[in-house]
Amino acid sequence: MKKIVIAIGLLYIISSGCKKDYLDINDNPNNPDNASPELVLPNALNVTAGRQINTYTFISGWMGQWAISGSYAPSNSNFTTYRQTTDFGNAIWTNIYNNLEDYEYTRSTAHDQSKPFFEGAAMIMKSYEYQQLIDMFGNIPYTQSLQNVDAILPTYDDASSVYEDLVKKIDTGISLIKVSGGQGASASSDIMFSGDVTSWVQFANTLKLRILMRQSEVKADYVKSAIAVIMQEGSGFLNVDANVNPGYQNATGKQNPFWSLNYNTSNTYINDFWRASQFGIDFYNTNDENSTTYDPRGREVYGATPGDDTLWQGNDLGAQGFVGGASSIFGPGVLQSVSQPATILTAAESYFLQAEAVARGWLSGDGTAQDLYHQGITESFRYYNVDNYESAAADYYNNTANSKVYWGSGLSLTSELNLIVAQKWAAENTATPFEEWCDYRRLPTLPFNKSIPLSKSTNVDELAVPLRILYPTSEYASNSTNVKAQNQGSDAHHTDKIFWMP
Amino acid sequence: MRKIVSLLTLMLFISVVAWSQGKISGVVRDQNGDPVPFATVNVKGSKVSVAADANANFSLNAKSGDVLHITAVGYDAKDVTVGDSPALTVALTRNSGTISDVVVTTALGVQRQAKSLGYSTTKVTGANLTEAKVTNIATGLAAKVAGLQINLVNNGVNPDVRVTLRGARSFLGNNQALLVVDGNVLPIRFLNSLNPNDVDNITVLKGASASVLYGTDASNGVIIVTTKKGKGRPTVTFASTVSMETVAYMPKLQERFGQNGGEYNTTYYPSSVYFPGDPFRPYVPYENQQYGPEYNGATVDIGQPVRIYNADGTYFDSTAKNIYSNKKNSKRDFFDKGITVQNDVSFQAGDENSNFFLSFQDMDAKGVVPKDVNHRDVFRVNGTRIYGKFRADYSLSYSATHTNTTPGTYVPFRWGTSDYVGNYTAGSSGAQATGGSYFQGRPVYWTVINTPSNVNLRDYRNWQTDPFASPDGFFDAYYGNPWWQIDQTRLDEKNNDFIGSASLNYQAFSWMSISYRFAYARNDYSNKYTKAGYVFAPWAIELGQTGEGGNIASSVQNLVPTAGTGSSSNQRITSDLLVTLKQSFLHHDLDATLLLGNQVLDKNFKDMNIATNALILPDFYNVATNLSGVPSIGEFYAHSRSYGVFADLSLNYKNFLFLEATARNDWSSLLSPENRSFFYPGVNGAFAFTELLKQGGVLPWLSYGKVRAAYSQTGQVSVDPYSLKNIFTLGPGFPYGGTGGFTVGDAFANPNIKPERTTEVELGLDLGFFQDRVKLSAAFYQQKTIDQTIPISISIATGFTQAFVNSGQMENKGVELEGSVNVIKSQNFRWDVGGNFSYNKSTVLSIGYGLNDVYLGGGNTYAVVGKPYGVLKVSDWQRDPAGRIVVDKTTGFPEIGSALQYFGTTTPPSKIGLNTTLRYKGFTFNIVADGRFGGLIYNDFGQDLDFTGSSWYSAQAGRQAFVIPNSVYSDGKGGYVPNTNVSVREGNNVFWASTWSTQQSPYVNSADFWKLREVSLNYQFPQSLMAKIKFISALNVGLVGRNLMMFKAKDNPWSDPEYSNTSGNGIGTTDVNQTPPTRFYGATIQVTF
Repeated sequence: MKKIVIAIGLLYIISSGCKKDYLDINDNPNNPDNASPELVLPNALNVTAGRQINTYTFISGWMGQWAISGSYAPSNSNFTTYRQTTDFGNAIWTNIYNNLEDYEYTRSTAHDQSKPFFEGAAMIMKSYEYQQLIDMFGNIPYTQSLQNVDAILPTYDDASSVYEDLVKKIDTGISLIKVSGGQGASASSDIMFSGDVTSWVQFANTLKLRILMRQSEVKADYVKSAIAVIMQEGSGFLNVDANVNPGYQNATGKQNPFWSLNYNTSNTYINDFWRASQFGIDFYNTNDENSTTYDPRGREVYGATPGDDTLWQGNDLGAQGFVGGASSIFGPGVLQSVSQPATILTAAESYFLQAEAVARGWLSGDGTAQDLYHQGITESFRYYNVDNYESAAADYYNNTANSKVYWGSGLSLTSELNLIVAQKWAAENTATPFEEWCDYRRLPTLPFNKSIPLSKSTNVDELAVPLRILYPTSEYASNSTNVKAQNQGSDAHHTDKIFWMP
Repeated sequence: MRKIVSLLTLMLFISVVAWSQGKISGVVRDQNGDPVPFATVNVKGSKVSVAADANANFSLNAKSGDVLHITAVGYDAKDVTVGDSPALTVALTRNSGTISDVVVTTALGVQRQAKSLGYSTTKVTGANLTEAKVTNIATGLAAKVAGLQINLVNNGVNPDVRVTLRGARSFLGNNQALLVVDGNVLPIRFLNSLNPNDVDNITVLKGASASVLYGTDASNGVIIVTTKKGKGRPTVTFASTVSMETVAYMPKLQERFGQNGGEYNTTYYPSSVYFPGDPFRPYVPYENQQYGPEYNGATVDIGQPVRIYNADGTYFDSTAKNIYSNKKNSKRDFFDKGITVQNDVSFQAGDENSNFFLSFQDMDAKGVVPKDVNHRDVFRVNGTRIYGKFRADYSLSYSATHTNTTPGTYVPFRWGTSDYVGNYTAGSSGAQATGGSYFQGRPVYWTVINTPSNVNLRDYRNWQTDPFASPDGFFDAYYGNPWWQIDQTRLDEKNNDFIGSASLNYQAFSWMSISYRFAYARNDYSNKYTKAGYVFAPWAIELGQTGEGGNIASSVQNLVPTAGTGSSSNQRITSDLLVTLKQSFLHHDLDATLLLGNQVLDKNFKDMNIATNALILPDFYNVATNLSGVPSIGEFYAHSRSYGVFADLSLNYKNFLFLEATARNDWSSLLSPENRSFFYPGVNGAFAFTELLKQGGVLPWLSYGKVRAAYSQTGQVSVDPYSLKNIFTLGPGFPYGGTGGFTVGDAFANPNIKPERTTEVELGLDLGFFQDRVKLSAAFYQQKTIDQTIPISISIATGFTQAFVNSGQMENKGVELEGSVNVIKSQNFRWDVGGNFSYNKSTVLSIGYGLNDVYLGGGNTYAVVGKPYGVLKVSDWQRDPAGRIVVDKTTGFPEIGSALQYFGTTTPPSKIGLNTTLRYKGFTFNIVADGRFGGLIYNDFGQDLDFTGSSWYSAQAGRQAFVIPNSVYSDGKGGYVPNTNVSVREGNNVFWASTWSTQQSPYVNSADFWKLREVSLNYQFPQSLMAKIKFISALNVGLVGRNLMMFKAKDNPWSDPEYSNTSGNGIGTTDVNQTPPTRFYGATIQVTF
């Protein structure tokens, strides 16, 4: 009996040795476990802006704006051969959805916390992001996306219907922004417009116009009626660049993104891979100041050849290289400073979109198509920091001898579109190249688009700029049933059109 | 040592009789007259039984004419008839050891007779472990235990190892065995900080049934290391081993073709040279790739012109010359001969009431990679002191390891001996400090292996003085001079490990003892990474910008110096309270032992690191002196606690039937309060049937026989601290001044995570024949793990890339066989042969959430439903239904497949270990070999070697067009036509570098191998000779060799298939971060004073 008493006594001591809160030590000291919309939106905007040049380098190559430096050995990279595997789009897909999650978190948290400005801004930016996804991949997870484990295998939605919903979401975003009156937003929480309601609404309208005009070749009636809604709203379109600047500075990881592609923190030029293309140099007629087709933007986009201050030259995509070695680096207009802002949507594009809509008779308002076209060129001259940009732009577009730009009277719609697309190309060079690839696919028969050179690589499988990006490997790995339901073949980048392509 | 064994055996098996009457007393001695403490004395035909005390004295109640049966572990039993004298002396003879006498250390340090165990264990003695003078314990265990897989995943001076038992149980949690050193529970990484020569023995508890008492960490089996205790008269032992290390073999390389990267236009590349009559591309003097013409012995320029300045400032341009021919063995000769010197001194002594052991080891290793060094000092002190009913034990070890190496592309930040591994990125917002060459950040081995074979890299050593070897003038336009990298890029790491435990045992009553153990383990790690800067000469930059081709100078221009430093500390505190109760029932036919205890565990980890990518001064590496004033910084903590209570009841019926039941409940801080308590039970039994047969005199040749069975459940918490809530991290670049920005973390946390549960059933059979000269042990087991904690990879379209769930099941079934035969046993000659075999069939039964696989790490390894755990999933060509490669009908080029394909498992299911020992007089010759079969390895660096064209593989068709073997092309109607005539349209770089090497499947090879792990020859000078030299009591000299030979599968021209780019679960991929395999050979001497 004594043994049993001792044993039970010991058992009691052994099993009751710990204080109740001994195990309550699981609060994370390494990372915060909640964040306000004011602290999430800035990074989301910065990531969106950072993608527009640095992630789409291959588009600049495809569009004849950039080429691989002549000092590189022949490259058989997928962007010079137009080949693709499912790996090609992995990083882009992940980057955008990751970015979307931050906007979605901003939206839902702002909704819960009654912060309509952030809710609205996040909704508008979500539409911006989803559009780029569709323009690259076609059908995408949309209605079931961004629902974490509640929809762990999100199904794919029809791209065309998503496009229509994006417009509706922007409308909701606009009304939320208007309701907010900009309250609660500051320069540090809204690194794009510092809480300015009008700029946000104009940005939203411009984005809507971008989404609608993309469908010009397939859904003209719908586009026309939807543009009428924008006119009704009345705030008009963007007349400034939609830029972000969180405070870029010369420190590792903190430089302006395009700057960081070109210079390291000790100010050494490091971009030896992507350089000027000869097509781009020729377009601006950069080497000949006295030529009738000389465009001063050429020397802003492209710098002189290292070692020769008077020579501008570029390579051709996929070519073997050329005697003399180096290609032109990037110029002072696109590399103004380490702290220059990063662009999400340019004012020039806003005007070119309006010009096209007016030319097609779908929009009326701020001037003729020609006026808007000229304003687009002027904004582009300003964007690239051309000296006396207004008069320089006027000199340029009023030059009747320059058929690349001169908008005479009695032009056919095709000719007008050709001018607009060419000037858009010139304005989006090293700014927002994504749009040029979309115009290239939307209006493939325009003479300007046909003049864009194809790769000279000897290892090209199919000599055509890809129509899309293949669904990424990550989807085949983690959402395979749904991505396989899209039945995408390994050659889809050359055969399958995005819904808005004619 | 034996005293303690006896003591503990006694406590377990002998019921101490609490009365005392009558007076027969005696002392038990061995043949030399030394006392044998704790022998058991039993009056034959009665239940009266006592134990001798620590001084070997006993007394009991017996009368004249009674027969006393005296037994002691390690001695032959003896019967003595009681005479008239009340005092007697019994002399026992040492025996060679039978299976029944083997004592093993089981969970919580409880020592038990092997006979009584219902589960599988293997004991490796210290002598077996260090036969080949290994420098770390893991190396010494390889091939010696059935079911134990040791992977030396790389070949550095301080290599990583992966130690698993019976495959894997957790998809993504820890699958490595738990390490217990003298009762101190540790993560397996501490194995590297122990001195193998301090080991008395290692017991491997293979299954969960054996380890259930260790709680949540023990589902993967346990490796129990017991270090040496002193015994007998004081002796000092000095041992010294010197061994050489050389590169054993290189991947198979081509020796026919020199430099070209695809250039064919001599107008664009004027320095290129077409050799008349040669069908290949021109020779290009600065290329890294080797798709050029065949070697012809011509004298050609190499590299681009180099500007050489005279003392007066004038200069001239000069181009180096190269004989265009293969420089035989030039890559292997890049590597040094490594030298490892181990010096050991130990002191030991022991008597009845105390023992003491002290040792010191100094190990200095110089690796095969020039300038890689590792230095380790280990100091240990162990002791025991008995004061009446109290016994105090202590075991303390301190080791200091200092490693200095050239880091690879990513500087490892290994957090020392901890569960946490990362790069400098952890917690920091800036870019990580990257190592590698001054352009492209390549590891040294990359550059060496991919250097054109017409170049001998040894010629480029003097980069400081030789203009053609300087970064400005080095011939290769893509890969930096590896000698610069070795001299200018260093990673200096220091580990300080302290492992200590102290315990106090109090024998409160004859039937009850209480012991308490406090154990503390701490690792302090620090590292410093430095990479010098280099300002390229203006002429070199200009050459790259205006000349043909490019060069590193123009790409880099100004290499800014970088540095990083970090430190971590990782400590574990374990507190164990253990109460042992014993009682006998049924007239001593049934002995019962009940253990009750609790265990409290506190793990605390922290690290801090700081790095900069731009220092101000070229060779001054303090991070504070950085250009931007904003270094990247990181700070990380992990603190967790758990406690458990347990009970273990073991029953012994007449020494032939044994039953043990175990129960434990744990509480863990890692889980939410609702889920943090979990219970797991176990039961096992053993039936030593030969005990009955012996009594009946049946089957006399069968000296030992036991059947056993065990069932257990264990739980493992497979989440890191703080895993129950979503986190936010700083966005890239943030904060910018006053602007903060956070991004939602990629992993979706789950607050309801529960422990993973493993159920194991094990059956076993142990047999001994002919006085145990032939021994055989077999185990069959089945394990099933449910509720896997997995951060499943989910579509980023959900907003997250990972979500934590409890889902998925995995099963392991296997057999383990161990056997040994003492073939010859004579006075002077003895020959033993031993072997082990294990086969483990693992199956991933389900994952759930509609998922078919889970990524395990390493780049390409997955758990796939219906397949063994850990299969390769890699990119592949399109294949027809018969598995043949589909090629394009006109180009002959293979078509790229649309999705990654599964290949086989990376964990070899079958493993064989063999060893043999021959002893002739003082000579001992020992061989250990092993083989692993049925696994695959993905040689990632095969792709790299084919990209540059340095591989034999890329030259096997002579760089000519050929028909891809076993290929088909489409007939356009959904069918396939065997391809017998469509050659690839190009058989040089376009095919090999730009096409074939872009898919991973050609580099998946069989991982089968046989390795001759250890060969040693030792000579022990005869005792008679030693007796003449008064001050030396023993002298031993020997020759040792390790990894002397390896035979790998025919289809694997690459590297050692045991290597892996990770020591985590995702093994199965090797890359250029593992240097080539090496072999060791050396000599050793050991003197005992």
